[in-house]
Amino acid sequence: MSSLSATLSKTLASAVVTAAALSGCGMMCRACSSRKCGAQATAAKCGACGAKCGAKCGACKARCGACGAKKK
Amino acid sequence: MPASRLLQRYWRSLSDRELAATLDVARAGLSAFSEVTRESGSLIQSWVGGQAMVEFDHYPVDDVVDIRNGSQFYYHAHRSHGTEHGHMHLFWHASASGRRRYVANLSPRWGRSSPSHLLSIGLDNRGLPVSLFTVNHWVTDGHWFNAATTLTMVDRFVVRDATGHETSAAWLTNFVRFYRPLIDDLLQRRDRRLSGHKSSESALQDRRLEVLSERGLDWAADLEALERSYQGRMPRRQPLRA
Repeated sequence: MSSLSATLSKTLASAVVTAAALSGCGMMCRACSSRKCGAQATAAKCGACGAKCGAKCGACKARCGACGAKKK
Repeated sequence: MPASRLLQRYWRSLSDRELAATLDVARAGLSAFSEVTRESGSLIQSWVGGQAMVEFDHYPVDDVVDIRNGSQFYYHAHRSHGTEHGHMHLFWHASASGRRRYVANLSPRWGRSSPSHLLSIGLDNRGLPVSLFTVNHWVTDGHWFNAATTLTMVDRFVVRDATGHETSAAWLTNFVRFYRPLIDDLLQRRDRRLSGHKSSESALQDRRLEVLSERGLDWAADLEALERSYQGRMPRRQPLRA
């Protein structure tokens, strides 16, 4: 084993394992689903508070992460 | 997984000096990776910071954006794919013509430019990079460029100004340099796949086409192959003293 791959192996042995992501909103709003992996600068905004919604949508009654509003 | 043959072919084509520079890039990337893992637990944790991750959410929440260099990235998770835990999306801010248009003291800073997607890097649950892939236009939006133009943006992708994420940014910048030949191949395969469709306009918006090209990685094997490649030239580079 080379010194670089040995270093990598040693580093990984001490790495923290991150748990799988919790389920988010399963029904993305139209604005988000059209660019589901877009950069934050292009993310759609929550209609209630104007915060970037990312994948949290109002369509399925999920709360906006920023303001907690529900779509009426 | 064995080391990439494409990379090994590429390294054979390099001069001794270029190969030594590649080794420096590999060392710098690994050093940053080790440092961020030591300090934060893993690359992923350096962005997540111990929170419970939620599908699709961006980590860090506002992405890492280097305004000066027009480079941006974030990490998220939303698919079950082999050993992948989640993936990074890398962007470069370009105008529709593919140029960089930075205007200081103007809000928004990038007039007429948009974060355009370069590639994605899949990570396992320890933060080890395990794949590279490209996605279709509808997935990330931004301007769309052909492989050659996108590769010039990959070459300009540098994340230096990244308060709080300097070490992961250093890893990423060097990692992208190290894997440039594979990224080139990935982008060309992406374009070839799209060219197989009658209308590229409709293909770019086709929801059935999400990942356009993908390649598994064995970073450790690639590092080992690079060192072997370099050491194989040692006798030529440093003749033994009599």
